Amino acid sequence: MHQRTVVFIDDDEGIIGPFIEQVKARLVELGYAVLPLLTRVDRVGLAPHPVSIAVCDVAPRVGPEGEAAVRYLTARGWSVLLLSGQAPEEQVLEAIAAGAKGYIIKSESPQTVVEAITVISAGGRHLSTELAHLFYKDLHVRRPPASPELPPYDRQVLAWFVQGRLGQAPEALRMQLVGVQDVIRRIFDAAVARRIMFRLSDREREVVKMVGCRGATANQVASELHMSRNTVNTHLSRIREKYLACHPHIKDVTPRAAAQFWAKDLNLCHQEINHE
Amino acid sequence: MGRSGVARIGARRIGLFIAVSSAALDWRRVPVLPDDVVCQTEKRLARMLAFVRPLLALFLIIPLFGWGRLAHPVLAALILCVATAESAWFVHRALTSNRDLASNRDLPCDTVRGDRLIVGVDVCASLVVMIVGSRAAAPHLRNVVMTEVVPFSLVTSVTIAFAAGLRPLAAGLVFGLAAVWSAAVAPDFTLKLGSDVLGFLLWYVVGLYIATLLRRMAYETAQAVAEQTEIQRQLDRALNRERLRRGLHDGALGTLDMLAQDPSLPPPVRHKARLGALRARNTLRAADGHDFRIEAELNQLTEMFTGHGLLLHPRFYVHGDPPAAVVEIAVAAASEALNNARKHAGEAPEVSLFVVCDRDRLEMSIRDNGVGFDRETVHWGGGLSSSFPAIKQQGGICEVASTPGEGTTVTLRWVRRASHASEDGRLHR
Repeated sequence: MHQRTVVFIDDDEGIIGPFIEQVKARLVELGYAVLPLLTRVDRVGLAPHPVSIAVCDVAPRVGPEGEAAVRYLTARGWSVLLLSGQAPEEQVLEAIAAGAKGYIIKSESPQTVVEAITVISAGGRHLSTELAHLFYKDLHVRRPPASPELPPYDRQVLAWFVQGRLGQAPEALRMQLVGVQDVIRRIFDAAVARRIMFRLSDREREVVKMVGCRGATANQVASELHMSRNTVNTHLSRIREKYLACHPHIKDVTPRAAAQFWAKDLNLCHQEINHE
Repeated sequence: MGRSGVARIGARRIGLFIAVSSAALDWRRVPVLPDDVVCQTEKRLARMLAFVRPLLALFLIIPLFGWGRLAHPVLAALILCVATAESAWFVHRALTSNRDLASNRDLPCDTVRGDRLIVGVDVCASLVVMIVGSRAAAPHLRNVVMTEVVPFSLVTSVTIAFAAGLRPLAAGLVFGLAAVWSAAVAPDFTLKLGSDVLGFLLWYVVGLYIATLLRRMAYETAQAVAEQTEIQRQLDRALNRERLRRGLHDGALGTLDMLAQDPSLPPPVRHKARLGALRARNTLRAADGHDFRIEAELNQLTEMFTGHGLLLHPRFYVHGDPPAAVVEIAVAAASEALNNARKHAGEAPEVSLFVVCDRDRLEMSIRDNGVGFDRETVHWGGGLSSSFPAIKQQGGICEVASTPGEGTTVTLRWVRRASHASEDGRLHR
């Protein structure tokens, strides 16, 4: 019987259907069992095999999304490969920090998706050109560096991935599985370490959603989230501190503006708007 | 010459006068030598003080002749006693007891130079004599008594000058002596004068405080408003970008991506769809950028080439603008390399344009996955050949690497030379 299973989660069935069919056909040839397409992350059950891969849209309109989706799926034994048209960068990087094994944009060929699934099945991580770009930009632009910082050789490899120098030829795929995989792991680890330090807590995230998406006042937040005014203010000042710590080039920002920036960066208003 | 010129010259003259006169009055600027001549002079100065101090104390005997007319004659006797005792100590101190003190300095002889104790004791004695002496007579005779006190007190000024020299504390002591003298002779007048002078000073201080406070408040407010405006600008930008992203993502992008992958469509249509999706993504990337000149030019270049149908993936990491000459060469080289890729790399090549730069360095790499060429047999370059010497002149290098069947990579690297950096630094200063 099948020892490897793949499930796709995407709420744009009409559009993505034919694409997934192409991927599916090749996966079946390689001996994977492919479950029917699901539209919500929270409809996914426990992983049936040790090698079970969920190919998940970064921001579906309903149900868990981004890092919450990754945490939901990994808790149920799935390895997650993220797929998106064009998700906000911070949201993708947070989802990677939550344990996703790769990120691919939908303009990539079905073959790339199959390759990524193969790499992840073998216990590796997949570094697409787009994800390499996000990592490289993250290294250069924002956030305090993780310690230890990425060594020069790894940086160079990352730059090659950005330019698509590795990752197309079959030979490159082989490299991904052997030597380069160690480098990729270090690149992922550095990106994760850069995020973990100033990650918003779940409670802070709720405050950010209310203030940043709905423009709620501190009093409204206090009554809706059942906390005191002081607690709300403490959360807001932590939200501001974390934002400033992640964006050293910004000198100052009010707590409310920080909440708005966070909401944009992490795409937290996405479902708020859809609910309305 | 304008008024400001005259004023400037006037100010310069006053400054010169102060400098010259302070040089003439400040013995502390005169170096000390461990020499016999120097020591003898120090001794003479000390003797001079030791001579005038007791001599002028004798004036305090005179008020006692008017014993019957004084309100408190005992006080007149008291100040004579104080003055006599202080003078005795003073003479002793000035003539003999300074060895320990002198041994701490570079001058191995008796001197009052820098003797704080002698200054302190003499000032205190003078103050006691003035205050107590003025109480000896009734107010209308006070002036008469104080006339005899003056000589004793004036010696204190000389003591301060000999021992303490020209320094703010010494000037303060002299001023204090004069003020106490004035208060002792004419308390009412001094009170009036003092409060008025204090008024002038206070208004000056209050004026300074208010002006500083208001100016600082204005500065801080303006700065805070500017910061808020900047934050709001960034927020608006982020909002616009998000709107753009959402519009493209939820609208065109998904459809174009899927059309591009649909095997049932003819290749030209799929290419168009792929190009459309790429251009949408490039627009989003450009909206995320900063306000650097090189970024703007590269974005323009990208737009131009994707407009001509090239599948160009821009990857810009710009943290500052290199010098204009370098930017110009880099953009020209990129343009040529992209042109070559478009013409010679084969059917629909994918090209990445990778640029990392800041003020001091630039790395650019244009890579295509086209047919490539053999450098041995093909003359390659065209317009690019002019980039090689141009970037070399700026201290950089330009390289072309290609293998048939594996595409072509053009690389350009530039790092600011140390001499350039210092020239630049000088200009900035």
